Amino acid sequence: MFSVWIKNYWMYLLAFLVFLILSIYSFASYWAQENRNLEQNLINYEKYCYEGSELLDYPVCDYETISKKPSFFYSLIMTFNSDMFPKGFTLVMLVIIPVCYFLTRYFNSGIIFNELTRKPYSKIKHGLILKSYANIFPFIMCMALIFLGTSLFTDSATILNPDPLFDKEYLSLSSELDNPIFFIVWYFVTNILYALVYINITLFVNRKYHNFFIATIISFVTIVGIELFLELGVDLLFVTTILKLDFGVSFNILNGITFNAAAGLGGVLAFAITMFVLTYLLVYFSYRNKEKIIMDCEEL
Amino acid sequence: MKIEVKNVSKKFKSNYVVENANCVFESGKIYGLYGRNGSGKSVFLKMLVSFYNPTSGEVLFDGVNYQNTSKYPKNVGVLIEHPSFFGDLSGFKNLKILARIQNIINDKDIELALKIVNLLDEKNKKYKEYSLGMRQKLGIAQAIMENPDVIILDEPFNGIERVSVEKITNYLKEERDKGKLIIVSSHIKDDLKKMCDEFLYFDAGKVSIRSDLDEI
Amino acid sequence: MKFKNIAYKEHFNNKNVIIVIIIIIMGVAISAFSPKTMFNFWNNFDNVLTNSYSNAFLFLATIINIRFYLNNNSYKYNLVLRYGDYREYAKKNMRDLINITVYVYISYLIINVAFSLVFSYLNFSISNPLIYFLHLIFFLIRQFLFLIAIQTIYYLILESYSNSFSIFILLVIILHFFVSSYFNIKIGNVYLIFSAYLQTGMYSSILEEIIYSMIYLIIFLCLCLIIGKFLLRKKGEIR
Repeated sequence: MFSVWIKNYWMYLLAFLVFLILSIYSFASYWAQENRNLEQNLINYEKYCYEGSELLDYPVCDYETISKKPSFFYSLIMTFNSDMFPKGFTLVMLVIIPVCYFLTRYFNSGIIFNELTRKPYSKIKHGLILKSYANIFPFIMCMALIFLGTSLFTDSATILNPDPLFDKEYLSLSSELDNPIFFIVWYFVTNILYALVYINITLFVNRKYHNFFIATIISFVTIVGIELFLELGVDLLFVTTILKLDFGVSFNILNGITFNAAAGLGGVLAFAITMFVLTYLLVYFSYRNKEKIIMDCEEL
Repeated sequence: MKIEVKNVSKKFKSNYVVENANCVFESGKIYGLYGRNGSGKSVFLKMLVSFYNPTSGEVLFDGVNYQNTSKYPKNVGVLIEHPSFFGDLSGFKNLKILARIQNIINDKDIELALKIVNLLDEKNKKYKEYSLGMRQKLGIAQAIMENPDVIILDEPFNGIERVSVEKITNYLKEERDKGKLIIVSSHIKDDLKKMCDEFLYFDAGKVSIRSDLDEI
Repeated sequence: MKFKNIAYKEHFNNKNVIIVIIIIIMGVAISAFSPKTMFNFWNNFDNVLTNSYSNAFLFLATIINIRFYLNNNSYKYNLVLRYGDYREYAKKNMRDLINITVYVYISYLIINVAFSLVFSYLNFSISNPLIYFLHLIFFLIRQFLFLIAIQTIYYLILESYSNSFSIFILLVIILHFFVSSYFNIKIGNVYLIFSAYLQTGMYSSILEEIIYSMIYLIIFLCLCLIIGKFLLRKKGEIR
């Protein structure tokens, strides 16, 4: 039974492994760099901060500042922003590939014909959607691991008391971190919603294209196309040029991880929920007609 | 034209699908391969035309072993398993694309092949609109249109109406009389008995030559 | 090179062509709307040509073309016996794909010109026209060669291996455009394969650029020949 399970879900496992490896690598390389910076700061302190030195008044000689551990939110955002962390296009690919594999296998096998005589179509449809949504778990688990690792490596007191210099000023999170726990929850929820948006678009594309390769590429291109439409059409042309407002900068489905909340947390969350609802409606309408799905499965 | 099968076996994982097959196929005869579903007929036919490589033994096509080369035997018309064509093109256009490769026949020959399989009236219909039987007929038409010396048909009469089966059977007999080598497989005895001269019986991978199917 | 005879009409049906064109337009649009865009045609044109994202989308368009073109195994039965030789069948496919890629590349250039024109306000000024155009020609040659090489190698892999393995190779090819700093192989200051052709401005003279372009051509040719010879030596089984 285990071998059957592996055969059906090996793509999910592979995606999880890739997420895990990239997350651990980003985490480790960030902390390696931080440790190197700390060592260098201490060496500089030894070298330049002797009594009577001209640099005594500068930050480089403030021992408390240079020896301090980085704060929780600073480390978190820096880890997520590192090159190798799966974000942007990489994240999209890792989320949609296992879903495309699962869906194309399902539709190509023709098993839907056997299932329809045994259970109602609505159940089949919901099962399909939920199994597709299951692919966010590798992503959530890796995010959770990074959160946990970061809290262990940093001064965990800064989770509830964010550092005003590095967290609030440097990361421009002055109002967002007034309620840090809310920020953490918001961060998780927003990224989960974005991942679900990718999966909804994949479900929509796979409804028509049952070739794994083609469905993957078209899903990816559709997501990028929607992003382009939002950034250029909605934000640049409509919101910024015509309405002359600046909240359009949060119209972005690829920037969840890198945290682009120039228009405020509420705006980003509202946008993420809207996108999820819109894409879910797309899925709902495209999977509503049972007969069309059967005809598409029969087609060569 | 002669196809020799010498001690050919084919194994998938640990199962022998075909075990120690020995036979000779010669021109001027129709050979019938009979056996239940899953008895190894299709695999055997694929090994004849070099789509599969035998695990052991060899297949000699006119004395040539194509196994470890990049070549395939020429002048062979084959229909193995489900036929496959382009859905958006008509039956006629699909055959024309294939005919363009060797460029040895013209439109009239294609139409003649379609006439033999009773598909001439539907030649301009798109392939994706064909029924199962019509697709099977187009597959047979593709195998016979270039007048090959060897015709290999795997379960060709699936889903085809009796009238067309009779027509195709008569055509195959005429080709046999012209000296062609024809191999047809089926799990329906009556279809084979009407046209075949010799029979091969497949039973769980083991192949035996029979002169008559009634003894099975 | 007759368009009608290049590939089957099925490959060039409206749906497939529209998808390929949309992919190219998106790739060009990403860099056309970037902050590097200025009121100068040649700057914008160059910007799109050297942008990692538009190159990644160009490769996606080429690779999806391969997938549209490739036949399922049942159809392969119809073809290989008529060709009589697996290598002839593969060579014919590769020839067709190269022809199709020419059209894709020309479409990419035309769309690039269109976007660059729109944002240029008809400003065509350029400081060193002769040197720039020579450099541009060599860049286009390198880009096209790279496209053909990757497409040929990818076709051979797709023909010989499973879909899943091919997706993995696709990921490596595409990701290297997005995280190129981890994928570029270089000897000294000279980048070798992968997105080496994107490295502009590293040549001190036109002669150096010609020499390195020839080196890339030879490397790509050798790579294609080696992989082709390896994958086409035996016909394998058509399952």
